[in-house]
Amino acid sequence: MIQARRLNKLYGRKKAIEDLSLRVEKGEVVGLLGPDGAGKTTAMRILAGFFPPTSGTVKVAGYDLLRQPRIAKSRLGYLPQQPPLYAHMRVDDYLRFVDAVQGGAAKPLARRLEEVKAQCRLSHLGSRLIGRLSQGNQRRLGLAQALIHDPEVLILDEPTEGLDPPHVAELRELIAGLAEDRAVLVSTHILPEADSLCRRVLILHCGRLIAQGSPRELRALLGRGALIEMQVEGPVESLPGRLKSLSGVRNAMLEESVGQGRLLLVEAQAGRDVRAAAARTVIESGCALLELRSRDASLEDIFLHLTTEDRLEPPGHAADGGAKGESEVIR
Amino acid sequence: MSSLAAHPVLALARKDLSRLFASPLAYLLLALFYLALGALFLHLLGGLRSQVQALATQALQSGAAPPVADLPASLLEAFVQALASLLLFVVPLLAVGLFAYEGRQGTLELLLTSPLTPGHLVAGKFLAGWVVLLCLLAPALALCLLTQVWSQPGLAWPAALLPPAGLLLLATAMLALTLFPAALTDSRVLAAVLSFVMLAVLWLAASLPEIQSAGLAQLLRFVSLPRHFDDFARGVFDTRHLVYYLSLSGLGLALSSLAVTSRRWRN
Repeated sequence: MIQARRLNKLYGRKKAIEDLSLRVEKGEVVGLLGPDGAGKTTAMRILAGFFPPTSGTVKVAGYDLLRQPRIAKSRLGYLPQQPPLYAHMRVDDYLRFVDAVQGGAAKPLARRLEEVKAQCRLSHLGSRLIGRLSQGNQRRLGLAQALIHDPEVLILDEPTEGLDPPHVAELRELIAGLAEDRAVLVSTHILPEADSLCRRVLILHCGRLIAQGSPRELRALLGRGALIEMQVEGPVESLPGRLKSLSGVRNAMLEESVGQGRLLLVEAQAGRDVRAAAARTVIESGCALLELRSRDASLEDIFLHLTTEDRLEPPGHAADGGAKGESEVIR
Repeated sequence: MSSLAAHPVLALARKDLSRLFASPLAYLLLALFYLALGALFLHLLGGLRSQVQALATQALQSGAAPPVADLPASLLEAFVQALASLLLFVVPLLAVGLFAYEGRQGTLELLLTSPLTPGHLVAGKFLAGWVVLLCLLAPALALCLLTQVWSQPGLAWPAALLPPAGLLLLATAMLALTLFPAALTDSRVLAAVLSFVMLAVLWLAASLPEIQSAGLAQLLRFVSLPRHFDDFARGVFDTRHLVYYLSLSGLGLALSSLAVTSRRWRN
């Protein structure tokens, strides 16, 4: 549905995007993750045809975005980070305007208008001035404008940014529903959002794709096991070293004080359960073990692991597109 | 009819017009402009009448024949010439206003990621601007026609229509040209300054101090905006002036399309 091959974008000598390849198929929601300045918005803008890449190709529904821009763009719905709204227009007039600009679709406009408004929960707001809508409704309208011409590909740049938690959950549910007959690419820096919404995630860092796959696959690929959080009290300084020497422990570190005692994080190797051994070591060291909890590595842990400079080796080459189910860490 | 209304150029123009006329301030400014037009017309009429009366009194005292003055034609010429000078300031502000807010509100991203071509975008903006100019100049055009109707003896019809038609052609060319700097940059101040400088150069081209090169002097006379307008203002039709204004409008629109295209590559 949307395929990018070896995209590069240079601003002067600075590489904003380097050798980025990706593919999103119909029925998929794919997340583009990365810290601020990673190149997410630049990548989204290239994929939406706002500006061209310095080199590389983008195909939307089989049409080359540079060589056949009109037909390729008519198959694409795009929600930029800031919803592109005209405050002086009424909701219905705005959606009719966007439809005219996008070239319309097969279904009659009146029917599409009602369907899209119902999907985005804007049915009762058709005659309201856009400038007087709440931020949540403006976001929904931003999504509605991306959908009005019934596109096959949706590109959503930080769609839930600035929304209240109830609105975020509602919008995520809506986006998940939209992917049934579309390819959806979502950029976000909200990691739980990507974890719950996306079948696959692409992790971008300094303009380069450094990993891709489902959150579960990435955990497995990185060999990340469970994380054990222990609240300990006493002579804790030597504990990380002693814990690291245990079989099956990948890493151990002391965090800031939390209430009573200190928080000790122990990362196990994949498939290893080190809770008993770690608890025994703490007690044998003369410390008090106040609490012990175990949890799986979250997408946030993986993301931090991959994007923290001192842990990242220089990347070699970017992958040439990632189909459904493929996953890799690109180093 | 509905497919015509859904044409992207018309949709763009309608959207811009609805924005321009959404604020009560727009109607207030329009009303003030109309008042200024009326005042200018009355001032010129009064001035010309006093001038003719003074000449007639002078002729009576000296026993000579009263002078033959074509008051309606002189009035129309003076009126459209004054309006043409006013357009130098009005048109750049209008053109800049049509483009600048798209960049500011982030809506340019919607337009440039849609299947619209740069030509569509410029045509939509131009159409909206042209309709606004028509609204601004409508009372002036009406005053020109009323002058013809109420004059005794009246002006010949084609000659009476030429000053307002020339004014509209001049305004059209100015709008098309000033869309170019407006499309080139998001900075309203820079775009307005560039537009004004461009029009001022074309306005003053023929009146520059002595140019040594005959070829250059001829070229400057040819590109001069008011020089091509003078004949229209006097009620004289010359195809060369029509071709000049239409060519200038075409050039302005083509440059504006290139400016929109260049925005994609400059990002």
